[in-house]
Amino acid sequence: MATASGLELATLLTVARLGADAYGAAVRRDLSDVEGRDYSVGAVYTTLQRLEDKGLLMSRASEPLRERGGRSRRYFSLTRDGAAACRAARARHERMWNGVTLRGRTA
Amino acid sequence: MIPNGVHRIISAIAASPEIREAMLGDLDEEYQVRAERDGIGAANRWCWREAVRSLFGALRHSVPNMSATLTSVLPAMLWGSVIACLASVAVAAVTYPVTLYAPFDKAVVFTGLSIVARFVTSIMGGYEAARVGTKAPLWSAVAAGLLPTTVLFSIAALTIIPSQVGAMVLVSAVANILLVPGSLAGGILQQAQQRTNDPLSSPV
Repeated sequence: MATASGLELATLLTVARLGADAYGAAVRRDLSDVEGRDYSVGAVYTTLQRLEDKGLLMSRASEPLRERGGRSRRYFSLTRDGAAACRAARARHERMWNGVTLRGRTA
Repeated sequence: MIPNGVHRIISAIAASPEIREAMLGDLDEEYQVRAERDGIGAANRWCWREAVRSLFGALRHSVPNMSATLTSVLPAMLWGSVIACLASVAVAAVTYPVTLYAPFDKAVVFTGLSIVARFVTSIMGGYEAARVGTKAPLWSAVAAGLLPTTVLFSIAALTIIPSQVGAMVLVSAVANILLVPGSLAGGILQQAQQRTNDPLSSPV
């Protein structure tokens, strides 16, 4: 099964968070808010496309919309493998944090 | 409507017609909001900036974690090349005396042995490169065969082999092409061996 990390994982979680409203522009806005940096349309779509190629996302086109110059929106949703990749990433992080106590020292 | 130049840039970087339509639609949607709120000029500037950023963003994100991959491949490539070169010196130390006492054409014997030796050592180089370049093992193996070994062995072929064997030098230099599949084979061997030893190393 394919794995995801970094921007790919953040994108998967954003798609999961947005649910039925997860189309490109909404994903970009939410991702930029959460990550605290402004991602370009190209960066977001390249990542979405790669996740779809990996079988972690699937997409469908909406009806053409007037406010988009007659173009349709492409809505993304998690596949079963995508959900499993998110769960695996969470478990990996929890294992990493297990038993960790952070005590900072002054120099 | 978004500017024509922006349309062309987005069309060039989109991976498929469906993605192109989605990207252009997203830009159009936000363009209209910005044009109403900030004016056409500001919306055009935003759109151009977004197109240029998208171009670089698409390049940057088309290879996942490119900087990490490069920092893994480059040292692996150098290490693989060093191993291949050391191995070739060891092989040459054995094969060169053999050619001196060969009862038939020394140039043909030397060139033949040299090509076989380079192929074998490129496998060793590719194996080592794949072992060291864990982020992109097969790319590391190919890199170890592609550039440095080809350059080094071409120089060696042109300088070490006596000039009077002309055609053999050419054959020997052309045979450097074998280094790439050789090093890739070494990388594949290393990966196969690693998976046999540690089945959990496969992506889960």
